[in-house]
Amino acid sequence: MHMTRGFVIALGAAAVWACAHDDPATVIVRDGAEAIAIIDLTTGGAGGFPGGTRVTNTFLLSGFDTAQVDAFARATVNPPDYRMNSAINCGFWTTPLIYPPGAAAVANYTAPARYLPAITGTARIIDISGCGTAVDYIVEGGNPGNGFDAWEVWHEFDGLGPTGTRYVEGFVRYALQQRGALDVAELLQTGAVTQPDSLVFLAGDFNPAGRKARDAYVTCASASVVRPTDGANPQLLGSDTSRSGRVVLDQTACSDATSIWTSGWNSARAPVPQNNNTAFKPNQYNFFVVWEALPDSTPNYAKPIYRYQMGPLLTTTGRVVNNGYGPIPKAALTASQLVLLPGGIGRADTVKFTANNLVPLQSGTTYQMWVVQAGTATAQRVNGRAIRLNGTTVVDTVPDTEFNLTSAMTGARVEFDFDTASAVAAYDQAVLAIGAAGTGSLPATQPMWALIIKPAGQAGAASVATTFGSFNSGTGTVRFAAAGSGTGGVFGLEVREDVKRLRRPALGYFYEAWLLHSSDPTARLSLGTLRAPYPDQNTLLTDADVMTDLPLSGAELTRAAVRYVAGNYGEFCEIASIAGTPPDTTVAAKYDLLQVRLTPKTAVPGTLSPTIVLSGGAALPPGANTHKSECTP
Amino acid sequence: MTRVLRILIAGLAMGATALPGQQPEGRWVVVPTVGLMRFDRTSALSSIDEGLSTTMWLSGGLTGLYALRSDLRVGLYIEGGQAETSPDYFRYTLFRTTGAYELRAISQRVVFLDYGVIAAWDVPAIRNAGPYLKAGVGGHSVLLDVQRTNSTRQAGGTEFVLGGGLNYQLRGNVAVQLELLDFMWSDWDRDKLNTALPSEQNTVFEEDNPPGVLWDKPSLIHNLRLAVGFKFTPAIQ
Repeated sequence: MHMTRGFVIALGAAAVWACAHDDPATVIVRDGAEAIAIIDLTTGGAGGFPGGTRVTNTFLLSGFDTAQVDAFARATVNPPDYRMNSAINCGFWTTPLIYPPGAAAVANYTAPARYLPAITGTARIIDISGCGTAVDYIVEGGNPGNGFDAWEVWHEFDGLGPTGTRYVEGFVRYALQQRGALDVAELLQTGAVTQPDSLVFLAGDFNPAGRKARDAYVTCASASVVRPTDGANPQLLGSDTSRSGRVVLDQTACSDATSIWTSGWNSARAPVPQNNNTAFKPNQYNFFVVWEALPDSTPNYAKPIYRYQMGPLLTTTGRVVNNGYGPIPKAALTASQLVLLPGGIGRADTVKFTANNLVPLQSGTTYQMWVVQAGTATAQRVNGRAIRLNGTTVVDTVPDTEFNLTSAMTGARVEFDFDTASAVAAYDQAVLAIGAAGTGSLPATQPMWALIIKPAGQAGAASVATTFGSFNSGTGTVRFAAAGSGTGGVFGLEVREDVKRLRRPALGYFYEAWLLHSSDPTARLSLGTLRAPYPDQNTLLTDADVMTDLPLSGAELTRAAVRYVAGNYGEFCEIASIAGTPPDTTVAAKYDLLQVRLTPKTAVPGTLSPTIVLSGGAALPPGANTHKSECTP
Repeated sequence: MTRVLRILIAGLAMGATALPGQQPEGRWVVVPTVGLMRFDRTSALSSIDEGLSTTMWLSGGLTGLYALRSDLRVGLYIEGGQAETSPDYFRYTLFRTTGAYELRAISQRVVFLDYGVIAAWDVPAIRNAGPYLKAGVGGHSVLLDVQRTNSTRQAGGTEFVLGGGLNYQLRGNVAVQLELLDFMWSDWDRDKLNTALPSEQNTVFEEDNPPGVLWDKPSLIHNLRLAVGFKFTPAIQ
């Protein structure tokens, strides 16, 4: 009994003890401050990257690569010669049609006689119906000028055979039998054809059908309208007989709901294909041809008198021929035109390389302009001059492309003649490097570059923006961009930021943290180089541009830290006012910004780089209010 | 706590003083104990102070042993008490309010329990002095503060017990024991005592976290318990 009572008492006491609570949370205090004024860093205020332009007078053509896709930039979704009719008559003024003579109104027009079988005779487009200019129209179905669903093919000729000679027209799907270089490419480059290519029918694709009777401009209600035949090639579109060497061929082909053709350019079953690499749909054609006819009005395929390319050429296996887009070129392009096309290869004649947001470098170190053959060790420092700038204002001119800046300068425009350098090697990039003055080899720090050639496959522009980053002689080139974020604040006397996912600095650069004031450019306090994260906070990340160990992870600085310990609160605050009775002192923050900036390692120490990567607002540290006596008067 | 301790000891003493009249003896021996537990320095129930840790927690226990031979007994044991976690082993919590962070050190009250089977063997050479050795195996459970963790979670695992003590025979079948045992907790993970979620932990001001965060985390820890017990043999009715 006694023992039972004793245990009950003991267990009860134990239960009371086990359930006892107190407040287990303790606020951590440092230097008299419980709160930490938050400073969040973002890329929102990023800017001031070294940059500029590369301007050239012109590119000099050094080659042309026809293997480039659409090397002459002639591919179009719409048909070739897709334009407003230049005539004011005949009802097509405000709507587009295929009009080969061009936008300028001409009285007559002779189509280029290219490809085999050769064009025979002396046919010429003229205006017989009084439209005002040469009549050479292929009009889409549903064109408001006609107002009904039928494609219209309307041509007027003179220069034909004697009265009674019959002509028949049609749409044809030809394949190209190429001999030597593509005629189109030859014509555009030289204006001449070495060996003419032939137009042939694809195997199994010769199936003439359509209207051989006299042409008729009628609506779909008429029996004389052409009702296109599925699979026809050529699709014949009417005929007529010359009178005094002239003929008018004007035929409509139905594209209403019952037709295998549909109205409108690029419609689902339009007979005219896109003038690009899009594969042909069924019943699409790439040529309009007028032949002299046999007595039964069948085309004499050996006697085309007029031929117009309205779609891309096809290979004998039915694929679109690269660069084989319509229309047939009439003349060669100039070298200055060719060089700017996708197939064009050229180099700049002169270069003006402007670099902004630069900083003064330590004595013995200079900015240098080099031309480089990317991906190789071939490089040469160029001769020229450097016009040193403060913003856009010219300060002075240095008769060399190697230069340094003073604190009153922010950039330079380097000018040189590329021809001189190009005699040595096929340089393709201009590179602004930073290195020892007078060095004979390309320095490793290559923060800014620009293309100075016009390579095949790229557009050529007289003025392009330079790129900032690590050029690395053209191998493993990395463009620099602001990235990352940070958070932290001022805890007691210590500024601490946890920074994540910064990009690796450009080669030769490092990250430096600053306290600044947005409206007082003289207020600045360097917080030093970024550091490795805890517990390696004593490792400075000055060489993060070349480090290979953590916290570097590939192209990224996964984590870093800002750490600065002030001697007293006077480094952060200043007396704002002393007023009242008894006097009350208010204090204000010396700085309202914390920024992480990118700086050349060889910059003059203490230089505030203009290149902002991360930025965040900073407030008065809480501890300053309890240590007002330390604030700067 | 002093008052609670007094009540606990008085209760145990009342049970012991009632024993002389309970004759004859059986083969069971019952030992209620009260003692002090000094947890392993890495357990987060101790302290990171330099030198020998003086952070100790009151514990109570009860052991029931069956005599297989005159010098060998086997039985069951249970030991328990309350302790407070040290915040020195965990990252502080980081609270963010408008414009300010605040760091807080968080601890919690926990209840620890040890239980299992145990064997006691009287050392024959010096039997007159009453020394004995104990070895056992069982489990341990640390019950977390329900209010602090908002859960009924516990941390636990296997445990091994090793130690010994001295019997001081009072009269008849009653003895007082002084005992030192090592409660070896296996599968121990002190982070289970952390009340802060990972998202609440201070990873921004890492240098400000207490140094114990970086201390080793052995999975087998040694918790020493020094206790006084009242050994008696219940009478067979």
